[in-house]
Amino acid sequence: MKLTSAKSLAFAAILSATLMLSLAYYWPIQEAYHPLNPDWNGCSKVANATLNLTLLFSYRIPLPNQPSLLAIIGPSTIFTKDEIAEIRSFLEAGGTVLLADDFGTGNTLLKGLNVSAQFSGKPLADLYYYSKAPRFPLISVFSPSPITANVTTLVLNLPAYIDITNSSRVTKLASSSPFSFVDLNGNGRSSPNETISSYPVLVDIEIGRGSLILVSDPSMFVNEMIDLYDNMQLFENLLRMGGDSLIFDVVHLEKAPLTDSRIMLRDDVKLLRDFLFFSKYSVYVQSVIVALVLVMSFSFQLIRVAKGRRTGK
Amino acid sequence: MSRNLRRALFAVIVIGLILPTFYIVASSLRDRSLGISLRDYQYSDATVAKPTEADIQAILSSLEQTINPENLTFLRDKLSGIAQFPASKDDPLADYIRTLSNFTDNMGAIDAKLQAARASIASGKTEQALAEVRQLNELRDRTRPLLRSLYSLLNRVESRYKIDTTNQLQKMKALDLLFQKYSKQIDQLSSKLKTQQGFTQTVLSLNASKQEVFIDEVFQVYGFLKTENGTALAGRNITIAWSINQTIVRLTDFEGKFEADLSFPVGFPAGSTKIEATFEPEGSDKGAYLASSSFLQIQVVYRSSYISASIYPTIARPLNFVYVTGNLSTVSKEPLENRTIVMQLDGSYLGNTTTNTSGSFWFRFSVPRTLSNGTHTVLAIFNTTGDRVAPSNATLPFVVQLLQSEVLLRVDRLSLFSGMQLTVNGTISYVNTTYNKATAAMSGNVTVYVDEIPYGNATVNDDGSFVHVMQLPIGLSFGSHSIRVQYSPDEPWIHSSETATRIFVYNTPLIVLATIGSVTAVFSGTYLVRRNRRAALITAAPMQESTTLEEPVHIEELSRETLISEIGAEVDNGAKIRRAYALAQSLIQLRLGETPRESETPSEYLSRVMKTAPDIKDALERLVGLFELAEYSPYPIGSAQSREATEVLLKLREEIETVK
Repeated sequence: MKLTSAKSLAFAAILSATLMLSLAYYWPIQEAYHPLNPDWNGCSKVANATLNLTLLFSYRIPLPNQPSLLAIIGPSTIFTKDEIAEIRSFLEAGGTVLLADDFGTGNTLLKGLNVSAQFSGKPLADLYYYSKAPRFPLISVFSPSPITANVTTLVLNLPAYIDITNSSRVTKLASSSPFSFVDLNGNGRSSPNETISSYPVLVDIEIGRGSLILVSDPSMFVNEMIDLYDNMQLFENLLRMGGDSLIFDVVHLEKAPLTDSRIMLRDDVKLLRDFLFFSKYSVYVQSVIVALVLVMSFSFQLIRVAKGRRTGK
Repeated sequence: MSRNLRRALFAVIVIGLILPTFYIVASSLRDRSLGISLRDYQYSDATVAKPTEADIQAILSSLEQTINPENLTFLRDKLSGIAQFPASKDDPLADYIRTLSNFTDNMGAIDAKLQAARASIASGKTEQALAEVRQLNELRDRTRPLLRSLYSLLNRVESRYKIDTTNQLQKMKALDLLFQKYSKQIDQLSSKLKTQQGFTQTVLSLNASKQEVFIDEVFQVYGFLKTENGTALAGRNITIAWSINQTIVRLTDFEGKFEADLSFPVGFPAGSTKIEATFEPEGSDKGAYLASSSFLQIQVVYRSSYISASIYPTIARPLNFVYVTGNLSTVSKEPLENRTIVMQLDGSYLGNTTTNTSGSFWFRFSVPRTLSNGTHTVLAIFNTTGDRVAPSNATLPFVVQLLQSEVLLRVDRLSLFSGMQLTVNGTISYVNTTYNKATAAMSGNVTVYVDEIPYGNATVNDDGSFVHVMQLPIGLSFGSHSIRVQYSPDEPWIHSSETATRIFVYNTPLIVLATIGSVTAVFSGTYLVRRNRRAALITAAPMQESTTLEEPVHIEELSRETLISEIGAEVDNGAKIRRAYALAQSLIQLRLGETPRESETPSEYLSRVMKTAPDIKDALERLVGLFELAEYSPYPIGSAQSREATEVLLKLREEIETVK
């Protein structure tokens, strides 16, 4: 076959596109707290806790009106006015929002919603009640609530705590042990300026007909931590409040530039694959494709023969 | 192919191969650099840390600040829910905190119930008050053992964590006093209720001949039983309770006095203890008098004992025998014979020995091979279970000296591809050069770690050398990796050692992918460039049969002006020369019938044309020279050379015209 410029260009483009798409499809999602990241720092286990999962790539599409749990875990980008307004509408309509953050950007949402609590942004450790090391404090002081039902102990991973400015508008659901302290220098040991006290780590704020649940540690929901103690039970309780429907915010996660596009590509490929191989029309679709290929090959040969006759070759 | 097309092709290849590779490498590097982020730690990698003495001291200080007998609300709030926390079963601190929480809750309940009972009495609700006093008694019975537990648990905390609990003990005593106060108030309420029902109040006093007694020492307690008006009650039984469940009954004389000689048996815990005298009306007294009781606190102490001991040798190696000798006596030098001395090494049980008639003892042990380099402590403990003397101990430090070793590590290459073999070798040597190597050949084995993951073991030869060949995993990521070798000696007196180096690994699949991409790009580019050049050569030349057949070029079309304009249409100088050469070939073909062949070189073409037309040799030879320069030379072609090519072509045209 004689390679013309156009053919070379087409070949290079197809090769490039195939390589790019293959890489985009197969390269794993590695972002922390991402629901499709199966590694230790991903949230694939909580995402798989329900069959009714929606990944939220943008707040331009309105959130559903029926009860759902909107999980915002480990936000790293600030919330815009439009996003805050959308979340407020969702809450007022009876939705449940889980905002799990420690040193991220969750406070921009709390400020926008004008609630009487915010994440302290200071690390919390425990002198005595911890798992493995003081930076993994255990939480066993709970207020009775559907959110804390059957939850005896939680384990956190380098959490912050929640600063409550007006306790009458915020329900404290869980606090650290009286021997926890703000580990300002991060050495896991208490210093004279690091106050030993009990700090709130889980609160509930009613907004409209909905609930805004604040957890001062996103890492308690990552794959490595979720199966420890009653961490999964807490998430299941939240999920139950949201009618077993989970909307996972990936808009505010810290991501590599093409991650969202790659996820969409994966979804499209999955959709196409399901349509081609697993749908009730798959047999017909496959037949049509085979027929088209045959017709095109035959037509191509016919055109070549006709052209050969015209040029005398 | 146009330049734009080439650029587009190049861009597609770059986007298709290099960008994804960059994306992967950048992501991989980013992930490695963020291995430990600010927001979370990998739980499975975390090492287990136990609370230090400072932590425990800080916890107790935190409790001390909150314990206020005047107001237990803060303490109750602080400890609320503490019972839910999981804690290790054998940790006395967890039990202490939990017991303190329960005690505080009970004290809060007693306080509230006392107020309720007083209110019921004041409002004349006697039945309700009686029920509340009954509940108070039950609460008191439940709380008393908790208070006792707190003392013993605090003791255990002190010995377990080797911390000072004096302040905490003072707070405990303050809580104890509060409990006694509440207890008295409960008794008073109970008596008040009975007085209201027509009974005579009795008053019982109790005193002791000494406030501090030794174990086994006899001392006297005495007291009086009177009515609240001061009338002595004679011939009544007074029950005196002391020690552990010991009671004695004494009869009051005509003055209402009673007395008894008491002593505390061996085994009774030292410290403050309570002696309680109780009067319970019997027979006809039951309908006339109220019960009464009284107690006093007394300090029980043991006679002090003293161990004088020594250890030999004070510097030893693992498996060496170490001897401990000593003597046990009272502080007044009275030997204590047939007593058991327990030996502990760094807090772990070693064994025990018994003192002889002069109180002397000796003990021998072999230094465990697991002991680390440095100072260790042997503790000779005299425990006084069932003895009249107090426990004592002696601390005997000794030094364990291990031979230091060092690892010299070599790798056969510092950079390699993943999946390749890497040979790790080296030698183990003693740091202490005074050690006689000849008497103890090296032995043991080394463990090789790649990025802290064990990848294999190698045995150390007698001369200290070792070799380990391993195959790196194909998927090992691109970048620098650590190779660490840890030497584990067989001999217990040799200290293990380790060293590390770094290698740079090129991820083979990534390199293969990039190479395939690069080679494809180079080949595609080369092919397209060559194809473009050849097409430029052939375009004007009439050697393509089809072109000649379909559209024959006439000599009139190759006029002087046409040639100049054709060459001038080219942009760069090299292209102008190649164009001039192609036009010369067209001229020669049209005039002389010599068609250029695809298989022949310009020089072969020149030789062939020379045979037909030797007159044009000079001009054609020069043009061929210029063409070869433009086509194959790496040097840039100047405008002078392209101008010369045009002039030579015009000259050639004129010379061809004259050829017959």
